[in-house]
Amino acid sequence: MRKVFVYPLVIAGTAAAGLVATGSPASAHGYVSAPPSRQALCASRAVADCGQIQFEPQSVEGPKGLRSCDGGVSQFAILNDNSRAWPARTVGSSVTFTWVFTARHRTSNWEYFVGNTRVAVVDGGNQQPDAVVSHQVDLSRFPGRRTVLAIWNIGDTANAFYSCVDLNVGGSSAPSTPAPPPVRPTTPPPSSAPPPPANASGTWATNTAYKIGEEVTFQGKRYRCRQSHTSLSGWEPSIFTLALWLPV
Amino acid sequence: MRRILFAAAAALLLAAGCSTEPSAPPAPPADAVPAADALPAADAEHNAADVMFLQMMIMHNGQGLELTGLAADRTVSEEVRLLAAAIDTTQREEVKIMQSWLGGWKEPTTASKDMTTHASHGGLPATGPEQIEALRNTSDANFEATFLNLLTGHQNSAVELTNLATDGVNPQTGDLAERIKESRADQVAQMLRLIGG
Repeated sequence: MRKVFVYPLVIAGTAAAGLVATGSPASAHGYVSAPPSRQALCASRAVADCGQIQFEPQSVEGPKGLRSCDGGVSQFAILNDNSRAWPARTVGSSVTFTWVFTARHRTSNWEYFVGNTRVAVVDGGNQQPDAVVSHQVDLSRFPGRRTVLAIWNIGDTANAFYSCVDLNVGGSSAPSTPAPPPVRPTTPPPSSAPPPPANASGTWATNTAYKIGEEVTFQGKRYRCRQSHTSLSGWEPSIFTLALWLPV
Repeated sequence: MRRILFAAAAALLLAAGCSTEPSAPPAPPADAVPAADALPAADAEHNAADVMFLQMMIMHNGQGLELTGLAADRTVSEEVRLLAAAIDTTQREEVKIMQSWLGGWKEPTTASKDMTTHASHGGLPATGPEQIEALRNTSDANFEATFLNLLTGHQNSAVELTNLATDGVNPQTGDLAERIKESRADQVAQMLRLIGG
């Protein structure tokens, strides 16, 4: 029955968008992408078996004032589970946090906590966030393995979005320049593209770098690659992906 | 109950101005290959949920194409260039397919911009003209990081949009929605690995 009301709710937004925003706790809309938050690690599959959060890392929304990684959302409780051994990113004493948004709510402020200590607050001016939002936070008083709770407090609802980021603070001193968007590391991330299988013309598989002209077998049929890409689920040869794979 | 709500939704959709002019996607990058001639057909049976999902997805793909179109002209890593080109090609193909289905059903192929905003639950959507302009004006040094962050949010949002198809009845639309959900979630995974290092 619940889903039946999805459409009227969306329609109701025509007249009462604000009501929809406050009345829909599962609605999206932002998380820390770098250094990777726990939900980002789930969505990138760096941490496996996270459940529904891997499909909606932007949805960790709860009332303002919480100090939990899951925003009080029971289906995302895994984010509070420290026994999952979340990988900690090694960083300097100054860390640039970058956010991804799926909806750009007016922002009261951003807060960063280590334990119960608020280590930074950035005013949002009750404006919609810029294209990319990055904040540089001084963590020099908190060396070692830490979990930083990053909070996006919404300006026009009672809610906030929560991201926990596991860090190993204090590797080296960080630059003191104002926060730019982070640049890619100079070395390619090891997990981004596993090497193609030895038999590159074998059976289609995900996470494989296919080049134009290569052929694969999928469900008993042969296909030729017509656009170089790294394969992923949903991009297997089909009538929907003729732009990538043509039957031979 | 359900039938009445869909009828009401359809009526309101029309009232909300579904037939606004489509925003033309940017021209395909030079190295894109021509799409296949034959588009997959859809069954005639459909409902308002199928129509709304396809209309919203066409618009959403169009915004994504504006992002990938900008990446085609900028200096990015080979991995990002290939990912952007493949997303561009596949989303362009999806738009053609979805437009052909809606056309076959005699339904409008565009949703109003208002609808997109409201589907984001009151917030502005992840990708609008301001964000696309900001990306266009981003320096070369910051382009890749900005592009990946914007496209990640955009594809996160696409996964959400596929929920609209849950109450659809057209089997091909349901199949496409499932593939969109999977492919966008996997693209997000690839991009988050690139962003986070």
